[in-house]
Amino acid sequence: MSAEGLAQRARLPYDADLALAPETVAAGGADAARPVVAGRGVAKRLLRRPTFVIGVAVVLFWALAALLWQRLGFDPYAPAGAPLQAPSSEHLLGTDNLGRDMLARVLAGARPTLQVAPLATLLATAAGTALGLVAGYFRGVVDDLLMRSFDVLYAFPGIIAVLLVSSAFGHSLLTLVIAIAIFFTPIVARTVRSAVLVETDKQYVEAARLQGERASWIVFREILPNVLPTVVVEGTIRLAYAIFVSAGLSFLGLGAQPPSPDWGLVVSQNRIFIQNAWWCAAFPALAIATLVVSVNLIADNLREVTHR
Amino acid sequence: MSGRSETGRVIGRRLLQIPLVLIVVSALIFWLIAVVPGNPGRSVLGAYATGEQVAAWNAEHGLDGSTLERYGSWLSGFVRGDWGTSIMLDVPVRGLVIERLENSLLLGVLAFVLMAPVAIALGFYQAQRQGRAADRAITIGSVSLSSMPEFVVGVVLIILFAVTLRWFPIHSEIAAGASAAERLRVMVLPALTIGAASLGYVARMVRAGVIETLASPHYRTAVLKGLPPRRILLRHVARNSLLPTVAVLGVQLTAMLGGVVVVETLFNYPGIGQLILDAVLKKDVFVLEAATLVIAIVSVLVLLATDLAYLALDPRVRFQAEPA
Amino acid sequence: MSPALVLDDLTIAYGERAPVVRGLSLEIAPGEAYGLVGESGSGKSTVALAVARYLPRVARIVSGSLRVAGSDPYALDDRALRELRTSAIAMVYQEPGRALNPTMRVGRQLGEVFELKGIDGEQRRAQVLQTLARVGFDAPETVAARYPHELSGGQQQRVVIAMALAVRPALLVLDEPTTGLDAQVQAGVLELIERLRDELGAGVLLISHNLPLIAAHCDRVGILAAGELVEEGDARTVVERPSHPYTRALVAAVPRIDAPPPARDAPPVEGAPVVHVRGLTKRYGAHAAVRDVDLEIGRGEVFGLVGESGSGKTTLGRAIAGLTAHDGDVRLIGRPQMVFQSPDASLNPRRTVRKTLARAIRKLGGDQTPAQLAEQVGLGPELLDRLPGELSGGQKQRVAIARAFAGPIGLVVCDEATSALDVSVQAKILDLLRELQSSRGVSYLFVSHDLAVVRRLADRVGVMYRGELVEVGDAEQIFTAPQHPYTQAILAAAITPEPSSHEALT
Repeated sequence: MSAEGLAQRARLPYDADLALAPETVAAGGADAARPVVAGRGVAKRLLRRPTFVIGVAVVLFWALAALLWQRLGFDPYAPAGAPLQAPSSEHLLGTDNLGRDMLARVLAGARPTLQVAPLATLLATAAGTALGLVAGYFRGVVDDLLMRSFDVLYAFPGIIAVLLVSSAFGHSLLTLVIAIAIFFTPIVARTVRSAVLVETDKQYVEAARLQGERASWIVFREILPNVLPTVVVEGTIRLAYAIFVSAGLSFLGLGAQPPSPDWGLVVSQNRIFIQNAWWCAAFPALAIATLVVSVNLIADNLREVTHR
Repeated sequence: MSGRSETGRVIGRRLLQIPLVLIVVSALIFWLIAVVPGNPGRSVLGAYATGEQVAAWNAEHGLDGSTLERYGSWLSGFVRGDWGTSIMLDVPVRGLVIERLENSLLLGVLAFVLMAPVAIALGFYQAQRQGRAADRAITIGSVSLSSMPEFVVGVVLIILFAVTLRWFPIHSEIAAGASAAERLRVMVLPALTIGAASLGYVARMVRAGVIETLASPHYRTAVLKGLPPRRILLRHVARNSLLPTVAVLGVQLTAMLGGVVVVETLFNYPGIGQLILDAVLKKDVFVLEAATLVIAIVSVLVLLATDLAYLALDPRVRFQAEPA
Repeated sequence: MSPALVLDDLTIAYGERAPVVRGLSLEIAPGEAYGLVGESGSGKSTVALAVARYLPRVARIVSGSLRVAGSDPYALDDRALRELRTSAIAMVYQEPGRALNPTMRVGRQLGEVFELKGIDGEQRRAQVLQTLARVGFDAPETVAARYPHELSGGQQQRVVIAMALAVRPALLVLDEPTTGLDAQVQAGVLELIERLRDELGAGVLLISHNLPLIAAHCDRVGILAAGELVEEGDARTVVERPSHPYTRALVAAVPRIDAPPPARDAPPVEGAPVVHVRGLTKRYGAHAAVRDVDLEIGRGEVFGLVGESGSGKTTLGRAIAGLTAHDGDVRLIGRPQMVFQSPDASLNPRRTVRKTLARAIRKLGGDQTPAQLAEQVGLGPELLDRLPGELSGGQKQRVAIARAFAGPIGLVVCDEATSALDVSVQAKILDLLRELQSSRGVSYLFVSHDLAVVRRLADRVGVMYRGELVEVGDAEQIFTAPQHPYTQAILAAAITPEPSSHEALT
């Protein structure tokens, strides 16, 4: 790399002169306001970002596919032609080894994914936010337990934790939801907790205490609105991970069971044909990729817009 | 000042923590594998075995008695090196797990060696071009790559490099007596797949670290001293900007370790991840217990090692940079 | 010999926005110290960056030119620019702790300057130690082996100055070099800078918001307002007979430590004290931040609490307000309120001014409307529906004060309440605090490191030193006839920015 380029570029303005000068003697105390608006117009700014719009469009597409594939007349279970046909005008994404239409299977496969991941994320985000607020504001035992649970969680890297839980309680979509939720809850809680710690250090929280506000008011009315952007961003990131994990477990055969068109399962079953019929594995894999990447793009844009 | 004793305290606390964490972890593993699913003899022998057969099987495998007794005898056996016998393969669990672990660690090391330089180079390059099209494109690309499930990346790599270009094999079984070069060849695709899962996050951390350093007053000091760019980069930018990455490296490395289950299954690579999945599917409780506990121990040690690396690199001993 | 620095009609803008520096011309002769004074947003730091050719990427020089020791940094190629930086310009900034590489030993960082001059090996090491000794370190070997975080703020700034000194520059640029340092440390650093100027014969550009400090250490002074040089002249003349209205207002706004404050309209009331503290101690582990403090504050009294950073004054204020657990007995009449230092953090960013005030009125049992309350602190009704992010620093501080006065209260703890503000804004906030105090008859515990600010407001003053209240007395007595040696020392350091004592090393 060009080190000189490094020296000349990427230099951030560090100086207060960038801010307008609102208060000078010359201005006679007519305090001019800065045109910086925090927290307003977030939606507008998001919609101006192409990657956000693309991400939302893709997620909406899969959500509609999950809801509507039956009404649109797709059948992911019945043979529709000769097995292992390459993509053609008749079968846009080809057929699998049982002659089922891959397009129908890919569209229908959105449903199990969009059943498990959002539900698990919702549970984990709600529980984690509550836990994070309590741990961050009150500290004490809850906080200690939360932080210690991390030392344990780190000993089960990646998918292994969810794999153990879901195999202990039986392989079903519901166990999958619960297993993912259990393991995401402390992760969400810790993110929320650090955001709460930052807010609790600010004097508006102390001013509220001096004013005689109750703890519940301070936590929910003073602090929560200020950590909400963090919660939203974290929830979106968790959603992407939940898709990641649930697809991985399905791939391992520990989630949806045949003949489900679940993407992970389909990739797993069709990978033996990969040499002759790449489309059977490639399209469902691509479907997961587009969904996960879109959710990540949404999360990235949310973070950039709300955390400036 | 108290720099050295502070370091000692941090290390001491970590070392004390490890046995405690491992006891909780082992209890959790035991509970999830040997208690929750119910009667192991019944689940192995199936619904048609008689009650006596099941009881005899359980007694033979030391699975009768109270939960606490069973946990105690399992843990003490594990510590003494007696990890039981595999139900599916009828061989001692210890040798099996250790052999598979070695294979997986090799894979993990290769994945790291392939990933780290690329991630660091990307991070530095992006920081230089911060906010420009190249920076954004690389961020979107690398983060997307890392957010995809491993089998998606793996399938794409197989289609490209194994099916179309035929550079590498589709399956990564290791033949008996394979040469080192042969082994390396079968490991490349799975290692790339595992590495890809961390690439985006590590590159992003490096990028953020470099940007922070470039904006720092001490970087300004170095430039205004009149130091040549190469010396600034090596002495003042490199170490400081990699610190935040090192702080979260442990979690990334263990995540790589977690990725082996899917990747080894996809590529048929004889590692501990594949073994774990086999044990789950075939209800081989002894293998599953030992293999997951071994993974947990390795994870804890990896985290310790990266903490120590951080301590060595940062004279300030600050742990507020918690892994994300 | 060419001048150390020439700025000729220099205009700098960030992007397409209005210029932050407009048509600035000045000249600094070798050996001359020039002080550039301005409030935040005046463009003074941009000038410092421009001189070193270290402007942010978005900044551009719209017109004009500058010369450092005869050469234009913007006309040089990379190699020549580095050459200029190694031999002609040296800079010292605010926040010395961040100006040093945190992962490199101090000796090595200093050694790099000699390395660039081609001095190697034993000779370099000897020069490093010698330079550290020259900036006042008694044990240079020990300091050279330290990392920056193992040094105090004052020591760090000495190291940065040592690096500047090693350059043997024609021009030394100092941007707020002592801001954030305690008065005594500041005095030591400034004395060092002056000595080095005499030794090196370098031209000095001293940039600061602090007019008295500049006046005491510079030959000439320029006043920068909104990017323009509104006044320039001999330091003494500018301070004593300012000609431009801006300068006159600025001089008037500077709180004076050596003049008694204007007479009070409402002197303190006799009777039971509002605050009664006995044996207050606050421990953090083995360390006592506050030790065995006894204190009383009368009704309608302003009690100033002064001390250097780490003296425990803020902890004492927070303990009295009830924000931190402590040992000892605190009795208060009425619920205490607090005004904090940082205007940005003291208001909930998601709540409008109206909502903040309405809630405070309700909780504190006030009988005013938010609009009335806002008017009392000088905020117009048009600001009521704004969020804190849409207000200036001074406005935010006014909202925070209004919140504290929302109901009937006995005591307001002001913790460095004006320290984050520009001096002109500070003067207005101090006037507001005084006015509210008279009209409402409340008591203040006024915590500040700035003795001059305390003098403007306080009836009585307490001096904190290492967690103990070492002296308490009437303001007049404390400022004119201090008893305790520590009080004498900080007063000496604050009144004349001349050296009083060297800070201890280690």
